Amino acid sequence: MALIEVEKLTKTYRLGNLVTPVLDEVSFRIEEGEFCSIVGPSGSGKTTLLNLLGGLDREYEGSLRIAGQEMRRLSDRQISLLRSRTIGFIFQSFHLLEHLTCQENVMLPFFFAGRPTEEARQRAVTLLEKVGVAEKRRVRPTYISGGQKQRVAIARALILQPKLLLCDEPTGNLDRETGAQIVELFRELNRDLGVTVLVVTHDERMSRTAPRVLRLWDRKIEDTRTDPSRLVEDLARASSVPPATAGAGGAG
Amino acid sequence: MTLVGLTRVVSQNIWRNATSLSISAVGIAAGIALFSLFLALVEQVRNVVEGDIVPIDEVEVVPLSSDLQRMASSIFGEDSFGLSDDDVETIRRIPGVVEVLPRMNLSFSAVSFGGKALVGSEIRVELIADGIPPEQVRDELADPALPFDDLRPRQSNRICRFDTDCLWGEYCEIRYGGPPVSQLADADPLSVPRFRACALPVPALLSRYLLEFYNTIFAPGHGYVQLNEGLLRAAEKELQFNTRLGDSFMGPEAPRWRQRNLRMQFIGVSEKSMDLGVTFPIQYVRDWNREYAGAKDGARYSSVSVRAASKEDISDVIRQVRAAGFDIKSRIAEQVSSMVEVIGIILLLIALIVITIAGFNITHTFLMLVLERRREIGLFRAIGATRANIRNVFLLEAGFIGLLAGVLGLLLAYVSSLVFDTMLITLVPQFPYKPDTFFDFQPWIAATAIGFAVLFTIVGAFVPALRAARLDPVRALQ
Repeated sequence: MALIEVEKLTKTYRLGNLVTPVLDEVSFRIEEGEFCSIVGPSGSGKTTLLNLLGGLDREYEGSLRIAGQEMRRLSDRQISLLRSRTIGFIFQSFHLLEHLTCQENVMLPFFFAGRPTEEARQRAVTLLEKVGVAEKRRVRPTYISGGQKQRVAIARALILQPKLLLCDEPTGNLDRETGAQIVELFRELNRDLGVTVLVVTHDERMSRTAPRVLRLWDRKIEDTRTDPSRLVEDLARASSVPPATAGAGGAG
Repeated sequence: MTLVGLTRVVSQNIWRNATSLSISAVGIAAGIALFSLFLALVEQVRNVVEGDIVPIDEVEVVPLSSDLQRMASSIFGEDSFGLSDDDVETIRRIPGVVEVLPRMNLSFSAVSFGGKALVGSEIRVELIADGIPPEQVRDELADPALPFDDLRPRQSNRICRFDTDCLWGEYCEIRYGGPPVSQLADADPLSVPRFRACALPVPALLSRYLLEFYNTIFAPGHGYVQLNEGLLRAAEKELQFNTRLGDSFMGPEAPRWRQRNLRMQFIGVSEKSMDLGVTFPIQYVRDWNREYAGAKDGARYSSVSVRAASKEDISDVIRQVRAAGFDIKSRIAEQVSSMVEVIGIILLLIALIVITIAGFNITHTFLMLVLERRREIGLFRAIGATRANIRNVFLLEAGFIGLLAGVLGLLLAYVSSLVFDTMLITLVPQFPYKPDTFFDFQPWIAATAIGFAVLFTIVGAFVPALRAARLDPVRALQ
């Protein structure tokens, strides 16, 4: 069963008399376990699409199903439950709470899911180890680097074992090398845990590290699949080549 | 969301915004301090007014004054203006009545003089008195110098000439033989037999009201010694007053030759004693009334004091007493009580205004917090928090603040009450019914104060909490 089913999805922003169409009858499906990137220039509606997929924005036309459930029809409680059980969010600006330690930040979703604290603590420790920041668990986010912050944020997104990771420009605030490490981490999570990863980026090279690329262009979507054999090579290039020489295209 | 999780998030939040939250909590605490201080003050005033000055669970039942039939029968017939034993029984059977105390007024004039040994000067007063059944005050009097009872069966009645001829505690009194005074108006004084015999003094009770009146107005004005209950118990002969029955400083009096002296002794203070006068065992009053005012005044009660099961029952009792054909002598107790209530309500309104202003302050603080935590609220929504979760985080936070403010306010009130008490007791001179403390902190006051603190903080935080819950997560996260 497809984890995400999008059919003729149309999204329009209205501000008084000003009507701004963002998505126009977009359709695609993403299966469980896929690693997929959404790429497009700024203002093309990438984040809008991600917010729709995460149920943060539920004003749309057409059909949008996550795990078989039509998002528009769910109540606030049901959608919160879906987000808690099925979806993990990763943001460009990490959104870690500065007054909590890294471990407490990771444990946070557990409180809203109404599950026991002890289990949350054990899982947080395991996940912080997995994302490579175990030694920072008692430290507050203020005192760690950007890459480490994003790793903590990833651990937080994973703590309730979601099927889907929605990542909004996860490397946008990181240097190229750290960004590549984070992308590698996503690939690892996708491979080892079977988590479906959906990464939104405006960086063409980064998007090519995913086997499947959804390209947003002129309110429409173009679905392309990358040759898996080139992935490792792309990844290596993404981490070493300076931005000026990186060209768009050539992925299809 | 589990309560543990919610509490954890909330406690972390409170810790983080401790300064701004404690500033707004101080407002609530001040309001609560005022609120509980006023409540405790009103409670204590009520205790003093209703417990000592005017007992509010008691009313005095008298015959219906507008009952023409009764009036007519008392004027033209043998039936006296008063309450019979049957009437007393009827009143006793009214639901809610726990105690009835028939009273009989002294219906002729008498004067009292004495007290020189005690207060340094002879006091002469017109005697105003009544009688009550002695068994109804027996439990109340702790170890009186004389029992409050009809002591005549116990006295020796030995013929005497002087007090020294009598047993210890007795005195030599003049007695008359023959028919009562009322039937002897034209009789020859010399034909009435007259002799002296040993008798025990008549036990008399004072009211606390009269004692206060004496201590605060009478004694200072005349330079007399102030009295208290301990002194009343300790003194013996010093508290004996001579009483001349049938005499008066002003009004109608019995023929001089029929006036006679007897001795009364104050043995204690009782709430059942009449307010401005003294109270004797009813047997004496009955006989004296027969002797000086005629048979009919010895047969009827002037009023009946009725005590209800509780203060709440009194209005019901009053209604039923009226329905049974009797009247209530005075509504002063109710008037005083409603005055205390009105003052109390005014004070509480002031406190409530302070708490309400503090509540608005809470609203403002929480609106600021919602703005400050905008992105965090967006994040909470993204990681699975429902709108209700967000709202509850803010409301529980407010509840905690309210609880802390309530406890702080109570402490503040208690400390202030100690300061006020010390000031009022040391700096303000003695006045009637001045109590040891001006505040009575009942458990219900503490519970109400904390309840109000929590309620007002939660109500104050409600709009901000709803606003937080309704935040659009997409915009909040931007």
